[in-house]
Amino acid sequence: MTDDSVLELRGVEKLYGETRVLGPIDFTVQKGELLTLLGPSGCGKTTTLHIIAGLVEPTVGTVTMSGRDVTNLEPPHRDMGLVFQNYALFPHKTVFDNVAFGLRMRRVGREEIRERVMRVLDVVGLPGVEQRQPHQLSGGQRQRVAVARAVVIEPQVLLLDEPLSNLDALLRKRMRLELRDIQQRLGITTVFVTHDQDEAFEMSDRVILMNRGRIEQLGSPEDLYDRPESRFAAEFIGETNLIDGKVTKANGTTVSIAVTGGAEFQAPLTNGAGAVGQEVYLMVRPERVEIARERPADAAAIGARVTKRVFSGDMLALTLTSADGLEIVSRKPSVSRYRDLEEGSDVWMMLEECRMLPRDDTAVAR
Amino acid sequence: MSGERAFSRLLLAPITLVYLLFLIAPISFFLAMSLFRYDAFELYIPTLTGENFARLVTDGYYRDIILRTLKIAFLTAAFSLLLGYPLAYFLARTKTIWRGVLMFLVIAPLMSGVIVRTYGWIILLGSEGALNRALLWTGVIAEPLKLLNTEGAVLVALVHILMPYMVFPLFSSLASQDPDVERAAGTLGAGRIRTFFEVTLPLSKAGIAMGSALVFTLAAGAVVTPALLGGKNVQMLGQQIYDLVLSTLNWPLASAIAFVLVACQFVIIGLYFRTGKAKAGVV
Repeated sequence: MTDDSVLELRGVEKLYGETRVLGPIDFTVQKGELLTLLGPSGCGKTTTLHIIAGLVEPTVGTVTMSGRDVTNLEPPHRDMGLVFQNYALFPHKTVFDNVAFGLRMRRVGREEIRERVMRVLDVVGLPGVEQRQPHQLSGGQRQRVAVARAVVIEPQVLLLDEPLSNLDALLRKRMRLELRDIQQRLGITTVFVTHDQDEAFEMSDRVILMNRGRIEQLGSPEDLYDRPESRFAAEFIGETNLIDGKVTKANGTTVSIAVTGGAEFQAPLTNGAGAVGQEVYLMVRPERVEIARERPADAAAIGARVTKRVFSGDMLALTLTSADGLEIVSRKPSVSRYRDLEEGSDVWMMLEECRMLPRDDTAVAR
Repeated sequence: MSGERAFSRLLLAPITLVYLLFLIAPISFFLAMSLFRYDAFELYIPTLTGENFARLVTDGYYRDIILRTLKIAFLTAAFSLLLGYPLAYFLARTKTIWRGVLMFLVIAPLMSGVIVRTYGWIILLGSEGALNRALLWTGVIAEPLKLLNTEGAVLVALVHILMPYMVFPLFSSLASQDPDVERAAGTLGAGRIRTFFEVTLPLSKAGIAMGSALVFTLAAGAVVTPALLGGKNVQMLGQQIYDLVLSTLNWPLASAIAFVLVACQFVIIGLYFRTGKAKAGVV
């Protein structure tokens, strides 16, 4: 445990009877960082958050906050602020009384409560609503009140349980940046739970990708996108081409992978896989599939035909099929050099930044 | 759209007719009757007079009955609330098999008639009853206690008989609370007791008002239970109306008493709707 870690989970597991819903999982959260638990529903991310908050007791393992074991502490004795998915505001109390609640429980003086509530409402961009009832507020305003109520007590850790999922698409995008801004201004250590990859990427310092109760991969958004370590990680985050292939050469740091039709591609060695003869996946992100009209100097270019063209405004998705039946999707900005590509156009494709992924892995259930 | 509305109005026609014939008409009838003059031979003489109401205020006998009825109805509601709230709370929060078992026990009394249940209490409370025998046998008392024909007996039985009317509104308002709201109070530093008084109790206000209004009005109008368990010692308004209509044949006075009873009940229901309206906006 480093000096900067505020929260640490070690060997945490949750079993309901014989059914293991979580773990074992281990991770630490550094002071001031925003760490996201990302994954499909049922992956254990909310259970993890509830274990941190003290709402669920882990079957095994410990939760440590700033060096103190809090595993068996009830929620009121943990120093955490939790923002619920449905906000869980007190419907019978005014905005002021909602936000003041945690301070009253801590026996803060009236004057100070007043001052701190007003200040935090200002921080979340809601001045002047303190006398309203929650039902008189819009969804976005309620969300801010919930954040204000959780941060006004200046908890060591702020926990956010899918706080944006009940907002409409436009507001959700704006609140992402705003939440991140509030979090950074207050410098508050935060654990954020979401199933939305865009949210996770735009807001987080680090992301934990979870699957079936386990940590699939932990890293910065760039790590997860550029260097997925499993088929699940590659498919859950962003779009991806997965091509069946076989390792033909291995030389320390890179491998050669042969795919349908015999074309070979270079990829860096990933987590242990890569013995010669091994069946693997070749992975390439669609925006990293380059397209040329004329045969390029690059020897690895493969001749192909556009077999499908989907226009979505800013982007074009082009399905390219080689003479050998290799089918790869390329995503390109809809600028003139790509826009006049039609179904049936003959092109050359070049696969850049290929990755190798092991086969013994499950597909992501979407 | 208008066809749909016409259809829903048509559906309301039978119940409207029933209410008009059997609620509005009788109430209007006894309201008018309460203002008529009593006559031993004619039953009543249709000349307007306030003497029936005056008698309820000036005649100590009737005044006592009115006050006793209000007191017993109030106490019944209060005790039902105190005893029913923990039960409703448990029912609303438990996920175990107890929920089904206790729910059945709460409903079960409704399946037997009020007279059966009242006789049950007579068996328990009589001077030869189970309770007295047990106390005599254990030596706690030397002489049988006089339990029947007391206000206490009426109160205990009314609380028992009317308990489901308290528990169900409380249960439904407690069960419909978002459990995350209590959890939120916990994460903000409130212990279980603080959470109850700050969050759970105020959020169940509608259930408290509904249950109390129901139990109060039903207790104030009770006839059989006070008659059998209270006897002549514990006269309540319901029996008085019954006696005046069937034995004394003083219909105008009976109507005046009925009017007082209905007025009390309307006040209570009115109070309920005021709290209900305040709640309705909160979702």
